[in-house]
Amino acid sequence: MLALQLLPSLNPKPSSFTTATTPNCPTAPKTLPLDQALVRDKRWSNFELLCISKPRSKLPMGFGGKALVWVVDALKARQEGCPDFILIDCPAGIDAGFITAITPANEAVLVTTPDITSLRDADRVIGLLECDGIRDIKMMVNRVRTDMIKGEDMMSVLDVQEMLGLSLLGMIPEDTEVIRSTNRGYPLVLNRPPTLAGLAFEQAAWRLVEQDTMKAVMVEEEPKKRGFFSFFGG
Amino acid sequence: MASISTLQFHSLSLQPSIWVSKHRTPALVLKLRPQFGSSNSRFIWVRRLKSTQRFLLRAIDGSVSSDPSARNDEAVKSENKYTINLKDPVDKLHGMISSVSPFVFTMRQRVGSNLAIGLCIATAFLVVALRVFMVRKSKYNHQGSVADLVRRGQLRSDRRGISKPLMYDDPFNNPLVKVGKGNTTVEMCGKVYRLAPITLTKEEQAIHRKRRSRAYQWKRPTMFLKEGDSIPPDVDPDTVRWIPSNHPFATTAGDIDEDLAQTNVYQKHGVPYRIQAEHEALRREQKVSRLVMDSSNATDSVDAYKSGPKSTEHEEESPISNQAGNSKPPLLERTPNSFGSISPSEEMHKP
Repeated sequence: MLALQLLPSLNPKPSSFTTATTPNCPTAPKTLPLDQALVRDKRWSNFELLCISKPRSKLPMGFGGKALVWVVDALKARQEGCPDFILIDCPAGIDAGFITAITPANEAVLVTTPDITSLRDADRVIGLLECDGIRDIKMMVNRVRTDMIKGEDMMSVLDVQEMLGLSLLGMIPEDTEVIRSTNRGYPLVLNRPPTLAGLAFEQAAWRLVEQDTMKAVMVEEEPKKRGFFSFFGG
Repeated sequence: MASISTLQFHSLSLQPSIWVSKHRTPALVLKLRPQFGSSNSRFIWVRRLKSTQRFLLRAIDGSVSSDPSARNDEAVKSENKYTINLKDPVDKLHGMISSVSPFVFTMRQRVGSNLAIGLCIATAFLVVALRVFMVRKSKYNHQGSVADLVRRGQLRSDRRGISKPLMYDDPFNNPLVKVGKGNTTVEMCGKVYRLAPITLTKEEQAIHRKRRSRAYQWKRPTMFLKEGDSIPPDVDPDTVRWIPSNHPFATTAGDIDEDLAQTNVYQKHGVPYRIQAEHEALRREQKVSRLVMDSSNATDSVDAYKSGPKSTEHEEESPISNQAGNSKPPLLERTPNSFGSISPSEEMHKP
């Protein structure tokens, strides 16, 4: 598995990350071997990260869709073997970064939150993806709060699915552990004891691997059965 | 004091009662009674004493005296006791009370049961309090202990909470995600959630796809052009993406003139310097216009020279006023003043 991170060009990054280009790219003045540009995860040796950003002043080349196709082809042609998945993190919005990111893509995973503004944006993005020929689109609903769904303050995942009409890959409940693990720099799915969001991510990842979709979604939390001695804290 | 004395009497009276029960001489007790029954409080105490004595007597009689002749003797003695008691009005009352003694006994039994209930409640509260205390203590210890370990360097903070990944064969049979019977509930992290089945069908997906194909007509841009560039002849205009000239993606390395960036003094010092330069230019312009006006009107200029310090002060104030608002209006205000209607110098000359 390999994750490509497309970064907006405003923040300059260290040169070892920014000038990651392929050896067969003709316009690159400085070429760095791809193996050096790939950052390997220390826990999972088969998980690598490649940060790509467009340097404004150093490289007189716009990092567009064609360059990303070169990168993906180079990754597929590595000696270590073709990666199982190449995940391209798409920047928000429908801008040049979006077009660059979707250029080499075969399928798409749309991540949205269950609020109406995000859903309208997501619907537009799905429309653009379908216009571009990407038909295999799955959806993940993020930051779901079952207590708000129960109080009818938040759209349920089924409502979201009804509005967008996409098959559901996963549903991530709102969890403070997400922020904690992000700040700590550790994958949420490796946390022990397992967290709710971590389990949901793991399940979604398995569905992606197995090309499966959700058959049932969590709607609300069932109230606990209170025992006879619950008054005393039992 | 009354209670203390009562207690003392009670403690003293135990010995005779035991003694009486052992030697089976209730007559002695009956003789003692009038001595105790002088006041109300003592009378009450005596009543208690008597019932106790009777209870003790009966209990011991039941266990010790087995032969029927002895029982008969005792009955005769008790009858004698009652007959003697009836002579005295106080003893009448005692007799009445003694007749109610089973009720008193039941009351005592109930008091004992209440005590047991109270003891149970107190124990329950104690257990609850102890449990809460233990839970809080364990929670505090858990957080604090790990934090302390990290602080002491015994545990690496970047490896906290991380262990080996859970290995299981069937990915959809995760032991941490327990799906209930009938796929209606799922238990994750100790919480049970209700499940609702997905209702989206292929037909609905196709309907949505059709809706989007009507709503969004889009072609992937193959060419990015800046505003003002001309479209190449062999390019579909729909695939051209127009980028505003001030957009960051529109700025390429070729657009940045490094010499200009180095020598652009206005940009070098930022916006405040530019504002300052504008003010200086405005002041220069004002001076020039003033000189022109002075040459046209000599008298005014003489007056202006006479009130020189004031005018210079006014000049110095003008940039400040310009900073606050638009730069043009002060200039326009100043011009009619100098030409004549009401100037500060004229005001000074007026009485």
